[in-house]
Amino acid sequence: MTAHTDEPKTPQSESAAALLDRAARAAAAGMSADELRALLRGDPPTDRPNPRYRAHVESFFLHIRPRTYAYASTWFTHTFRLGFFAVFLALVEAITGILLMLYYVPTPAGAYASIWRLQTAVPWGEVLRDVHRLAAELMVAVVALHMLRTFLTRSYKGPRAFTWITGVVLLVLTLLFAFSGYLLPWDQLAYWAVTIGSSMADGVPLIGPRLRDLLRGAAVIGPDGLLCFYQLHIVLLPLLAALLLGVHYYRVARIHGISLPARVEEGDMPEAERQAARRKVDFLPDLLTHEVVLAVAATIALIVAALFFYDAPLQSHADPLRTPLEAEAPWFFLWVQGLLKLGNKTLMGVAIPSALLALLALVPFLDHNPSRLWRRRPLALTLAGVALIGFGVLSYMGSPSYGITLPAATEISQRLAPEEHRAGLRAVPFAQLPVGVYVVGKTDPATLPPAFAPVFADLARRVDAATADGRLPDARALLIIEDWQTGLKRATLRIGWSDPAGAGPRTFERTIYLPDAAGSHARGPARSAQSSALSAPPE
Amino acid sequence: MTRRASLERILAVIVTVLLAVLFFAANPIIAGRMAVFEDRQAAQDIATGAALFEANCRSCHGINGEGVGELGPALNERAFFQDRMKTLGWPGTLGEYVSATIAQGRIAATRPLYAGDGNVVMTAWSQQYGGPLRPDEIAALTAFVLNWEDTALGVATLEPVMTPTPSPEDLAGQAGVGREVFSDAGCGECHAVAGLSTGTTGPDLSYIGAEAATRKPGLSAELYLRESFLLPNAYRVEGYPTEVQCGGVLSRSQLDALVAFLLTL
Repeated sequence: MTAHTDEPKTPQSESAAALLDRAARAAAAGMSADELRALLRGDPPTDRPNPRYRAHVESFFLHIRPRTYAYASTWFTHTFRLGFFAVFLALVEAITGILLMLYYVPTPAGAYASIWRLQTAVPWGEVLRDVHRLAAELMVAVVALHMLRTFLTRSYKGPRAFTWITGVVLLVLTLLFAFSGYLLPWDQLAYWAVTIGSSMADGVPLIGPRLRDLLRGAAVIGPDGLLCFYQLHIVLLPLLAALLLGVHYYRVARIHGISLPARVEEGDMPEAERQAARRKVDFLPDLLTHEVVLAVAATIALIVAALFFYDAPLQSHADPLRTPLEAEAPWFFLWVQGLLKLGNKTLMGVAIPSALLALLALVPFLDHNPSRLWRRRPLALTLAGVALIGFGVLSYMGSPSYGITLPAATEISQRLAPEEHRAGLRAVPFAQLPVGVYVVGKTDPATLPPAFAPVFADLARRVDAATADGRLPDARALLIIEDWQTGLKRATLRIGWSDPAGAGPRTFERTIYLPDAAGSHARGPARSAQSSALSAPPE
Repeated sequence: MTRRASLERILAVIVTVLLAVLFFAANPIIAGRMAVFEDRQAAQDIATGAALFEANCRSCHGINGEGVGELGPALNERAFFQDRMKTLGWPGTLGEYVSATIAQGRIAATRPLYAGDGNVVMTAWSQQYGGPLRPDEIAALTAFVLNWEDTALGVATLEPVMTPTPSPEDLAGQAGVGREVFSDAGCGECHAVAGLSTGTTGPDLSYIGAEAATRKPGLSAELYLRESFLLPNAYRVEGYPTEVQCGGVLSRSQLDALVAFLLTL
């Protein structure tokens, strides 16, 4: 600040100013203290040629950014900042991922416990995991939307064709990242989603089974499979992604820039407006400020979401011997699961997705339309619409409930208390589960505690519906709730019916264990016992 | 400088300050969340342990940990929580003792009441020693067993379920279901019941309803039938194989129905 006063300078203050200036030049990529001050204040450059352009030469991180953007290419509604957010989320993933590696143990015996330890014993550990998971799913969505935007604005013309192809590869890498990370918590959700996913490799002609075993490390996923996915997730894919992102990003930044909106490029507006839209805007300082605002605001949003609105799922420990009733693919692969319900693995699981991918990569070479304006691209836009609807329909068909019918009694029991989700009976507060025998058709839900009543009413409704449509003739259902230990109740669901084929009475019984998740359990001894249990002889 | 740019400049400062505030302000929330997850983990362990106990342990230790005859000691009694460690001179905690016992099994009885003639009394349950359970499952089972502490020490009492007394029609219906169970589970392949099956490997059950009460002194007919199903070798009828391989898997309600049916014979 002393450098800017108008008073005559003493030799000492001059040397202080010179020192400050030297420090500024060293730290701010060649910009003087005066220049840095003007930059921060939003004043025009202090010198000619613009010393801020010099910073783009001297600093590596500014050097990979363009010095200027065409004004129209910075319009929010042109890009929605989707490319920016894709890179931002990739950085979030890298940072949270590295921190998570400090606590994660990539072995079947240690993985699941290390996730719980992260959530119970590491301050901010749960936020770290939630943000990593949330940002991963957002990244899949953002990258896909980024590609959709690029298609809709036809921003893959000319030199951008190759950039588009690197983008398609990055989309595939993003999906592989999400999928390889899926296994790491080593819970039922992860284990079975990846078992189904890796069985897709079976469908590859000739090398299928070998490829599958290579991926899984054995016939079923075990220690080697977990290690394989872990190293894919933290070493191989990051290296490939850094390589591809480097190419993709540098091409956008230095070779061809962000495309102009079609109506600016093709002169579909008054000439004066067009000139204004094409003028150059400096990256420093206003665009950088804009990016800082977006990045910090998005960081806040992610942390707030992790704290209050989003819990990364964690089901029970992976068990190769216990297949879940309803195995779920991650939402971004539901369309493949939908395809698989239509045909065999080789055609539906491998051939069609690969063909779609190849088609996607070749889009710039198939589209010979000279115009980028929407009204002159009816065919391309119709195809995009059809593809989107197709993905929507296939994803719906891929959901667990579509086209797969559980036996009626199993279905009723699953809706009453899903195996893994905190829903139905499992969501009722412990205190609102009074001990007793509740008989469908005899017990009036109105007499039950408020949280339990709708669950029981729903059970009664489903039993009645199954009786009415003949799946469970003469169904009789009852629910027994017993105290088992302090903080632990046992619910027994019993359904009896006459076999529709006339083969006599049938029964279904299931026990559901309902612990009090609100605390007051004796704990400590059991957990600390685990480590010493294997070394100390009983007596 | 445009108006928008100056606005964003201010905004940049605001969000950065907000982020810094969030980092500090969130710490009490973080501590609360950790406690919530600790409770959830403990609850999940106990529920997992409960399922494992019901599947693997109840035939020797009783569904409520009350112990079964001379097979397995009670786990829900005061002595287990208060005196067991002292009696044994075990240096660690009860949790370590329970966990180690489940993992490694027990080759000799530690109390003369229970069987222990040098043969294995309780098999090793840890996968490390050839058993079926993973380390996390042993931890969960341990958590479940230790959770009996409150009731064992009388700190808490549990409310019993009031079951309605079954009417004669219900009993008749149950016996009908039991008849189905008898046929479906393949009991008839070894046991004869007049008019239903002709198996000869196991004892004839045609009059078991009348005989059951006299087989084992002190055991009611119903309990005798239950025991015979759960532990086929607990009592042997003269003239039949000594190593019985029986033990179909029945649910509780199926076993109830089967016993009701056998009692009508």
